[in-house]
Amino acid sequence: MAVPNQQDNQTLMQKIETMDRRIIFLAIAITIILPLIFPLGLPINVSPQVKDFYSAIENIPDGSVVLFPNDYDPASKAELYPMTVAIINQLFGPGKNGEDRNLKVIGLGLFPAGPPLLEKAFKDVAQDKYGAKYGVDFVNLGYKEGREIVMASMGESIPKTFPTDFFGTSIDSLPIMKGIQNYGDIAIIVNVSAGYPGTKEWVQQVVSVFDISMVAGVTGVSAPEYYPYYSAGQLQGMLEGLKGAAEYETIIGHKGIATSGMDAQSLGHFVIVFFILAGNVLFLINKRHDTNAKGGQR
Amino acid sequence: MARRSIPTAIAFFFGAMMVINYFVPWGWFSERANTVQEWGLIVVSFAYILGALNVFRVHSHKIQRKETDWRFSIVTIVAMLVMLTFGLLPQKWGIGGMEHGSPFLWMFNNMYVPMMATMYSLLAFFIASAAFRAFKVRSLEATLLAATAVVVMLGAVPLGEMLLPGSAELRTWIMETLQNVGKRGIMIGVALGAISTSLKIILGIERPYGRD
Repeated sequence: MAVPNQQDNQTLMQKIETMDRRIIFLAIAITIILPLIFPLGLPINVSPQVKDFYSAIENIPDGSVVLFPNDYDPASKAELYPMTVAIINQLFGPGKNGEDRNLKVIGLGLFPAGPPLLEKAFKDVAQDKYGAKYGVDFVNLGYKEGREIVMASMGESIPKTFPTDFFGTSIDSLPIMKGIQNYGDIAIIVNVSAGYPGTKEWVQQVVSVFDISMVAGVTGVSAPEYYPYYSAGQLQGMLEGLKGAAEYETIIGHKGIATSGMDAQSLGHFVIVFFILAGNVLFLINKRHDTNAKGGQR
Repeated sequence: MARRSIPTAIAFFFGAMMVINYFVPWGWFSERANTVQEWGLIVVSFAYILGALNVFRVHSHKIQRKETDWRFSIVTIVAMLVMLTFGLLPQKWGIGGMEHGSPFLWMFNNMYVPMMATMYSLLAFFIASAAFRAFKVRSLEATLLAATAVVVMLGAVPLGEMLLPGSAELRTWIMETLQNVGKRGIMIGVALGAISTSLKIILGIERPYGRD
């Protein structure tokens, strides 16, 4: 005689509640891949913190020096690289009246695997799109271990902290670094950060000590961490995850990878919300069924 | 006695030096403090050498003893040595350096970047699965948490704004008001804890740097 297993005794709702998780994986895969192939073109509204981010960069005087730390690695590339690209577009693109702003951009990274990503963005956008010259209009100082110590040390001397650039060239030989000593020569810090060391440490070690303006682009999951700094004015603007990057692309008028990714993220969020709701409906139905069954047994 | 007092004296001297320099960045003193910071940069750089040696040691032992998945340890060591070699070779040799098109940058862009991005992307699948199985409204607190999560997630994307009008504004209010208040409290608490721990270390009450 066949012995009925536990699976056979389950109701349909219980079976759905304990379904194979690969079905959920498949649902997520489909909802993310489809809008990447067939974009929905959902409208993107620009939030106040993104407008502030844009204005803070737009309002720095022409010819200023911008410090551009990109503190992330490939794990956060999907969210943060679109920000890096969009920021470079604003920094090297024409100003409000179509004029050349002649900004000097000093890039660096406090994540070991960050500077090569910045290098790619500099080459693809600053160099190939806007004709900016390495060593004259922008430089990549590369990575330096030391976290907060690096930030504090740059307050004393940037050339001493970074004697060579990403390629090993002495920064004394680069025209962009002539006359740049410390944070006193920097107009604004534009940070793209995935965590520690990143935005929080730049605010604590540099903004509050050297009284310098700063804006930050951060991952969506870490954004709540930085709201207090934005509310307090220590961050003048903030980009929050891929959504922030897409809004920023909208405001600067360069729709790119963040905008195309927003449709996929929209549907992804929708599916996760659907699973939360569905999971709870099934949970409540099954709970009621169990209570009824126990009542019947008595 | 000396084993206890010398590390404590060093921690007190340099800790106090940094604290004083933060509040009173005076010329001569500030220069000395900056020199100490430079020492700090040099010392922490050695952590990388130790880290690399440790990876090598751990995986070598695993291979020698043929422990579970020891073949992956071979991959780890070979990958580490290959990246290290190409990263350290001088550019003038033609196969070294960090220039565009160099083997190091090619491997970084075409192997390391996709692999790391893939690992992180898998989170989306696990979050969806966990949300379905574990995010249950078993209590009032859990219900509030789930309702907030739904609003914040929908308000964060254009589709959510279309399906649930006002979710974006509600999300902004949650993030800038409710969330911000809680976060500030936590941050102030953490900062006070950090100050307290730092003072304990500087004054030698707590000694993570030495054994008693």
